[in-house]
Amino acid sequence: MLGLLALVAGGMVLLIVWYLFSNALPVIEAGRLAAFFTDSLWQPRSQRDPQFGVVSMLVASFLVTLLAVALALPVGLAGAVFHRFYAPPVLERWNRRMLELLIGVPSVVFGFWGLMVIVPLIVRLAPHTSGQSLLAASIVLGLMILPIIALTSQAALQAVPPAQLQAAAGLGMGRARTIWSVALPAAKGGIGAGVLLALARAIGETMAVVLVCGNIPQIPKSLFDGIRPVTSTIALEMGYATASHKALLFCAALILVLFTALLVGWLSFRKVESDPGTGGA
Amino acid sequence: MNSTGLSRENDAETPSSGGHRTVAASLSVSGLSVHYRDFTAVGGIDLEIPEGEITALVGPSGCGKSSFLHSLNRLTDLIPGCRVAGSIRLSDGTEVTHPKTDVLSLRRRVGIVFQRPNPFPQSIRRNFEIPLKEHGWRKRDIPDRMETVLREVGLWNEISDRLHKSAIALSGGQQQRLCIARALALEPEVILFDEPCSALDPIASGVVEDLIHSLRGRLTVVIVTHNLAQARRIADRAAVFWVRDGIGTIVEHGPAERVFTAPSNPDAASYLSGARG
Repeated sequence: MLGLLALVAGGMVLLIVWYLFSNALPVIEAGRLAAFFTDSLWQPRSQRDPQFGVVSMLVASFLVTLLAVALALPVGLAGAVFHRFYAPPVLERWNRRMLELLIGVPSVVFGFWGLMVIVPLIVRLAPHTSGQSLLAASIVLGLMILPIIALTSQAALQAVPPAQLQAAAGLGMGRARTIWSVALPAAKGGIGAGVLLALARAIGETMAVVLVCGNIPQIPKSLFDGIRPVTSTIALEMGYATASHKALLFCAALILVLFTALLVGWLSFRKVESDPGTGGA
Repeated sequence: MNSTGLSRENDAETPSSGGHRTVAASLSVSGLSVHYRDFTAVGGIDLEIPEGEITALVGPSGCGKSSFLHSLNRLTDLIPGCRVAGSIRLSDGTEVTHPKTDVLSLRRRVGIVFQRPNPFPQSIRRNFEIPLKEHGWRKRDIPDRMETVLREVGLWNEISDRLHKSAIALSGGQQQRLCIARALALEPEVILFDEPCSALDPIASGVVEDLIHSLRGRLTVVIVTHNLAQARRIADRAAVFWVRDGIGTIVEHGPAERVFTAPSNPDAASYLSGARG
């Protein structure tokens, strides 16, 4: 019985992938899969010149995800270090409550807040743009994944064996070097797992991004250019898509799932490889 | 005493103690007590720890030996609510318990090796680089320093070909010798051992014991041990801890030979003869 319940989770993934695959099948059968990567534009409904270039959207998805992690990781990690090694316990408890609350904020609220606060700020920074841009989406997404990274990093730092910290103290090492050379290397597995979670969360996020990203299917040339990640495209177009267009969207979704799986698989494989204590050399 | 009768060290390796710059320091403890919030773990300690000798602290569990040992280089600072009162004076006049004493340099001078080997789970080389850099060694001097101390602990021939490998892949005894080498690398004047052999198998334990014995004369050694036979073999001086009125204290101390053969305190006598404790 337990085993059956356990299988539900794993089984659902297969079920969803199969559903995506079977709905995307018309595109694959028609031999139009290559067009996804060779076409430069996305205009699937055009009568004269239908094009299905999904590359710009994939690039947008990955760029916005990487930027979000690049913004959230230093902040989250610094916060975790501060709370583990510098802050009084009361502050640490409060901050953790706040972060847990932040996790619970619905993504549409994040998106709305981004649209009302972040986007105008960016317009002030770059007056000739709409403000809805790669940068806006990265900031909003970064804020969304910040609590994930901060909380997992804190947990990883809490889990550093006291014997390691005692060893460092016994060798007359100060706090800074103890953190940098002992605690962080010991916690890097847990921190990595948190980043992985955050990556997966960020790449799939739709609602917060669609409101602030500008929704222009192009490969951005600057931080202020509008973008259109795969998820936004699906959310925007699925409502009115018909037969072949629908299959194209399913195909795009399938590609996103596969890319995410590859990314997560690659990262966790690297983690397993470097884990048995050999790091830091 | 002072003779193990066995040479378990690797004969191919000669300890290169000639390059040691530092000298041993003595410790003078008076009126020392260690408190955990309202609880007094150790009290009324007066003890002279002469330089270059091995002082063994023995006694039943829970009588404050480790608390006392950790107070000698202020590791007690790490325990929330722990307070140390009284005086511990190094031979150059440094007052260990004084709040203005530089704890980091104190701990370099008074090193410690713990019960469980605790190498950093990084490469063997990093285990030396991290603390040596902290104490101002130049990067290019570190390999020589590391080789010297690894030779001293008889580990060089065993591991010189895998310095880039993880330290936790070593056996328990090798890890403990690595930790001793790591402590020695900082050129301490005193080195504290907190039951250094109790987590090791008998053979590894013997190797570590011989190693500690070989430090005699160059360094001041203070060792907490539950192994009375070991204390008898290596110690110049001994102090017997006992719980009196709920507080750990020293009931007998002096030259090891006298303490072990003719203790004057009845509690110490019954403990050392195996009748109690």
